[in-house]
Amino acid sequence: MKATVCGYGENRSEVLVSYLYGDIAEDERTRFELHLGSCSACRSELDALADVRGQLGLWAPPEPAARPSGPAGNAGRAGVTIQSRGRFASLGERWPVWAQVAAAALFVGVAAGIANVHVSYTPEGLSVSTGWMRAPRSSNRPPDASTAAVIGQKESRPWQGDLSLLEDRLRTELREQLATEQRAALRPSGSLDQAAIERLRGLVHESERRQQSELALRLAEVTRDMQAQRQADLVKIDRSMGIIQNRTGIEVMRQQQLLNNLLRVSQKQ
Amino acid sequence: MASTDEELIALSLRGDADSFNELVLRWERPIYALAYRTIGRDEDARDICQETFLRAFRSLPAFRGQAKFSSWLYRIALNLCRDWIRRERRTAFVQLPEGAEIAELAAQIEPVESIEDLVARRDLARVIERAMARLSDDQRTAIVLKEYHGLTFQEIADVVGCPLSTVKTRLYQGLSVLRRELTTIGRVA
Repeated sequence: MKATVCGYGENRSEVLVSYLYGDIAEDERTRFELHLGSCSACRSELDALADVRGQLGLWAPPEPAARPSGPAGNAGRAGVTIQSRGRFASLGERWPVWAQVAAAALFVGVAAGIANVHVSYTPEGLSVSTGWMRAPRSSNRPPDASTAAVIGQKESRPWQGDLSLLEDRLRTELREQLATEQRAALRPSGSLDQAAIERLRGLVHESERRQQSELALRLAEVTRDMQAQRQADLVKIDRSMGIIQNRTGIEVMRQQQLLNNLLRVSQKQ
Repeated sequence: MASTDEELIALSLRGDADSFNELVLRWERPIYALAYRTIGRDEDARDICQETFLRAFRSLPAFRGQAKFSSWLYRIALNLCRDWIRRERRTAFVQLPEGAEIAELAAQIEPVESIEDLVARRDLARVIERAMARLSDDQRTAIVLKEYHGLTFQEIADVVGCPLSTVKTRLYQGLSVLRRELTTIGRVA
C-alpha cells in the first residue's frame, strides 16, 4: 500500500469517508470532486475503500433459529414474544424446572387445604374425602356389616354416607384405571400405526441426508485445507531454496574474492 | 398500510401487547445482526436480542421519542453487548456459526449452491470476521452501524454518544485497517 500524499486539508479523512458513503454536503462534494480530478492518492484510496465495502457487503450473519416460546406464529425468530404487560409474561422461560415443580406442589397443597381434603389409609384401603360435601339425600347401597356400626352414629356424623359413596367411587375408578393400564402394557409393541412409522422413516431419511451433506462439506473443507497447506509448503520450500542459493552464492563470491586477493598478493611477490 | 413505529409504540403503551410484538418482528433481525456482528456468537447474540426487547418493553413508558425507536433499540443492544464483552473478558469475533448450521444450510440450498460454493462463502465470512477482529470496539461498532444498518453519521453519533467528527474518524481508521488486512490476503487490490 502506498503512503498517502495529499494536501487536501486536515479533515481529509472525514471528507473522504463522507464522500465514500454519499453522506456529504453539496458544496463539500463539489470541492472534493474537483480535488479528486487532480489527486491520484485520493482516487486510489477511495477505490480501495470502496472495494473493502464491497467485501463487507458479502458477509451475512446466520439466520437466527426460532425458539419455542409464546403462542405459535406470534413469536419472532429469536423467540421474543410479549404476551401481556404483566410482570409474569416470561415467567415460564425464566424459572428453572425445579422451581416450577415446587410451585406446582405448593399450589396443589394450598388447593387441598382450601378444599379440606382428608386422606386416610384404613385396613380396607386408601380413602380420600372432602370436608365440605353434604350428605346424600338417598342411597341405594345396602348397608354392610362394617358400615352398620357407623350408621348408628349417623346423627352425630352426617357426612359419613357421603364418605362411603366417595370411597366406592374412587375404588371403582382405581380398578378401571389399573385394568386399562394392564391392557395397554399387554398390547404388542408392533402395533404402532402406519403414520408414525412413516414419520419415523422420514426423520431417519432426513437425518441421513443431513449427515451426508455435512460429510461432503467436511470433505470439501479438508481437501481445500490440504491444498492450501500444500501450496504454503511449496512456497516455504521455494523460499528456503532461494535462501540456500543466496547463501551459497555469497559463499562462492567470498571464496572468489579470497582467491583474487591471494592471487594479487602472490603476483606482487 | 403498515403502522409506523411511533403508532405501534402508542398502542403498546395503551396495553396492546400485539403492537409490541409487531415491533419485535420488525426489529429483531437487525438487532440480532448487530449483536452477532459485535460479539460474534450466535447463541449469545440471540440472548442479547431477547434481553434488548425485554428491556425496551419495560422502559417503553420512559421512551419520549426524542430519538428514533430503532436508535433507542440499537443503544440498548450495544450497551448489552458491551456488558457481555466486559463480563466474558474476551475478544469478540472469534467464533463462526456452529458447523451444524452450515450443514443445515447446505441441506436447504443443495440444488442451488454447491458444497464448494458454500465452503468458499464460509471462508469469506471467516476472512471478514478475522479482519473485523483487528478493529477496536469503537471502530467495529461504527462500521457495523454504518455498513449493515445504514445509520447516518449523526444517528451513529447519537447512538454511541460521541461527536460527529469522531464517528467519521473511527470509520476511516476502521476501513483503513480492514483494507490493510484484506490486502494482505489478496482480497483487495
